[in-house]
Amino acid sequence: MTVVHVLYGTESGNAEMVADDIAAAFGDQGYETVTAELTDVDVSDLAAMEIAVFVSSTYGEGGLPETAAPFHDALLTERPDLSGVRFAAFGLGDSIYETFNNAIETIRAALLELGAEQIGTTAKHDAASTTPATELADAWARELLTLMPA
Amino acid sequence: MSLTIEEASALFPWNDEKFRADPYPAYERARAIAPVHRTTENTYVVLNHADTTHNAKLPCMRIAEPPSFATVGEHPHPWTAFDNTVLSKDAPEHTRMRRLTNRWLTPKMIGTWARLTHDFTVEALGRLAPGEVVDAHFDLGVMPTHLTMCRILDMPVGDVEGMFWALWDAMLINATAPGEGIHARSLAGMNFMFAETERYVREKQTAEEPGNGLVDELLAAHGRGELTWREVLETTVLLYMSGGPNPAYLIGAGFKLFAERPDLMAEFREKPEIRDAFINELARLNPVELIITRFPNEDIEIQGVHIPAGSCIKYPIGAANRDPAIFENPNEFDHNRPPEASRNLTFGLGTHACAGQLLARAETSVILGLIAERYSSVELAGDPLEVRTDRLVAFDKLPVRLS
Ligand SMILES: Cc1cc2nc3c(=O)[nH]c(=O)nc-3n(C[C@H](O)[C@H](O)[C@H](O)COP(=O)(O)O)c2cc1C
Repeated sequence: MTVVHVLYGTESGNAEMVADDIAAAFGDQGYETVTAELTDVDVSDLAAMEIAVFVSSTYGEGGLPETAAPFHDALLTERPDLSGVRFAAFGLGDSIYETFNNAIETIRAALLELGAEQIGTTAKHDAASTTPATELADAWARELLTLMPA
Repeated sequence: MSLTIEEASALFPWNDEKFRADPYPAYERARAIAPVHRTTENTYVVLNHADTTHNAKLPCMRIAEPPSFATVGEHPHPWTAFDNTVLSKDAPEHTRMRRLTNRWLTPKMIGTWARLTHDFTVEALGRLAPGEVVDAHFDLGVMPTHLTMCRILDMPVGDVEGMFWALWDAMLINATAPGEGIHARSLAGMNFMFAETERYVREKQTAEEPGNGLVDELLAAHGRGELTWREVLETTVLLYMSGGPNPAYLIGAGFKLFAERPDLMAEFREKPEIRDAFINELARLNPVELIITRFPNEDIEIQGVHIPAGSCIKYPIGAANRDPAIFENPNEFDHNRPPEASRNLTFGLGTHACAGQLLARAETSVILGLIAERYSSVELAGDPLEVRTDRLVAFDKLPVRLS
């Protein structure tokens, strides 16, 4: 069975919570899941992942969260061939910022450039909205599950 | 309708005892006249929820008072003592400082800390004789939450009451128009907090075994040359001092509500699923910090009022929190408000939103949960005593009997 890797970058733990929610949704459907913070992910291991779900908040002024920045740097310098990788993307941000959800876009762009293929739509949680991130994560993960290979 | 500065200023009698005790009718009267008032040459007051939530967190809204507000020849503002913390910084420095604590206050970590608060509260309740009067503010609000913060930081408990009042004194200077002698009193409070904290941090620094708290992490970063001593000290004071007093007001307000509304206490007991919304509504009606100020570094316009760069904008949180355009029956406690009509500004907003708000909410929920589950009623055993400025409120005494 396909292993789903849920990889997150966070500042204050909201993306970690979302990553756990997504992993739980997949776990409930019988998928094996591995959840890891991006600081603990080796870029060279990425090519071997069939399905990777990226979760990241945006921090500072449109920047990557501290735990995602080194990973992104490594992607751009090591440039692994990701043509076999399928990924999904979930961002967290706050619409008051002009750079709303910039970080997940930055990560997406790098993955696409290296040949990975995106499945589903990019979720963008808005901290200024009244929807809890958990709720959006559950709904989005369920949608994503319908796109998964049987 | 256009008011003169004098007329607008008269709408907000910041130092009036009656206004301080209940500013809400005055806010309502002022709002009925206009949503934005110019109250001094360079000060504006914004009253609407929508205008506040949109404008107060714009990147141009700097938090530090620009030099133009300092009076030549006057002593520095006592709160410049926190110039090296998130309180006074804007991005990108703010981001760097905020990162020092983010990892300790994640939603996951909060669960761990709230269990500590639970245990400290159980111990405090265990010491109570049946029918004994207890100060719900200090013994069941300040203490359990302060002890929790001490564990997070790995700091000694210290002189809790002394520190509480030192912080209160230090905050007095932030009133809109502090009276005579307040500068000296604030400075003395500030010096006390810093001296106490510095002593403990120095002790930690020279201890044989490093501790395992947030302060130890700051000290290690200092050892590596990544943080200055002032950054370590100021950040520690800030956290050490905000653990108890701030959540304690919310918790005290909960005790008062339970005493006045046994029906709500019963609902809190019987329906754990409403607790987050309940605490949120408690926070809406009982902000600790009553006004936030920002200084736009660009000209902006709010509701047609042109506000030049460098002005001071006051956003009274209490006014936004009870804006009838958002909150139906704004003065009533109603935890069943729909989510889009329940967002309040008690913990601030945007980049400078309270970093400890998840902790404060969880602690309040845990303590009030224990009370509701273990007792059938909360009875006031005397009038609650509050201290107030136009900027801040705290309980002094809140005697209750639990049965
Ligand atoms: C200091 C700070 C800066 C932020 N900067 C941005 C930003 O530039 N763009 C954005 O969309 N969200 C921004 N946010 C909002 C966060 O992305 C949002 O609160 C998110 O839920 C945090 O998730 P995390 O806990 O996983 O880091 C910022 C939040 C803070 C506290």
